[in-house]
Amino acid sequence: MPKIPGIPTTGNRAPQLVTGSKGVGVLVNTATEMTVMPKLSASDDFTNLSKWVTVYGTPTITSGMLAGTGVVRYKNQAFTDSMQASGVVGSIGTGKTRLIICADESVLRYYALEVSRGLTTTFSIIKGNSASSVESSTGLIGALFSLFFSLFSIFSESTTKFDTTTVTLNVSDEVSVWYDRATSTIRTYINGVPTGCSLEVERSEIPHGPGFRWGGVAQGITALNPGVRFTSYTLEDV
Amino acid sequence: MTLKAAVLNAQCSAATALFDTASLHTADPAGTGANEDPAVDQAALTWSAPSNGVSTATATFSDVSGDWVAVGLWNSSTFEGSFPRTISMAVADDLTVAFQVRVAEDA
Repeated sequence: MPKIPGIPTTGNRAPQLVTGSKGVGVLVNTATEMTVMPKLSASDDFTNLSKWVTVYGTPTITSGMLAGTGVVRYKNQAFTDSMQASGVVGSIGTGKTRLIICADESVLRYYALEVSRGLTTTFSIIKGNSASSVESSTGLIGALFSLFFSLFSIFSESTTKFDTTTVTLNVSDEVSVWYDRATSTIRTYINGVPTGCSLEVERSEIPHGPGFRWGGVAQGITALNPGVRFTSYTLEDV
Repeated sequence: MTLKAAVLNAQCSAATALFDTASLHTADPAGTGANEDPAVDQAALTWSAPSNGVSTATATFSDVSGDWVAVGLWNSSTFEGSFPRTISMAVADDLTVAFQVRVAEDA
């Protein structure tokens, strides 16, 4: 515990003189606790990738948005398990993009919000088991991609998807994913409003604690489809 | 004996009045506030009015990067103590340190 002269911490007692029911002085002990909690409030506007580590692929910056294909990890780690990542939507293209939280440094194990755009827009909760969790497209080109990727053992589908929910999403909306540590629930939001997409998870199914509080983005998950692109990103302890 | 909230609040206010700024330290501050990071300005603390013996404050260190091992507390220019905290920020971002003082009747 800290050395704070004026603040007795738990275990130290500061007697308090109060008046009893018959005017008799009574000593009552009180305990004073002080807690100190660092919290990260990180942000990036995708001017460049200087605040990011490329974990996989070749992500790029296009028109002030994260683009290309790849997985990037933010260079600052959250200080608590109760971390929230958000992205402001800059464009909405067919494909998939993931906002990653609770990741290890190599982004091998994590939770994520997957934003998928097809005929409709859906949110899903993703449990990731590998940074190379990127799908290839079907057809000849897709087969060629698959061959290429499998040759280098970098594309292996190793995620599981839960609680897919149709949402309405527009440019400039802010999408968020939060690990609610108190209830061990992954929650998702659009402009701060909860969506129907959430998932209670086992507390120990992926590691938590220091070293497992990284955030990231997986961009261009479906080959040849850009997916949702973000113009800015925030990562914070909630 | 049960203390009234007003008694706990008074003691809480007396405690929080001791601290008006916070600092970040790259090595042990010891008893003097040593090793304060010269690149990081001290951050002001504004304490909430105590309620049921609890008061909170936040210190915001804007756009900082580095590695620190302790958070220091000051009363004007007087060092009042520190808390060991390992804080590492590889790139410049805002760092908020949340403080809470809680006074309770000791069972």
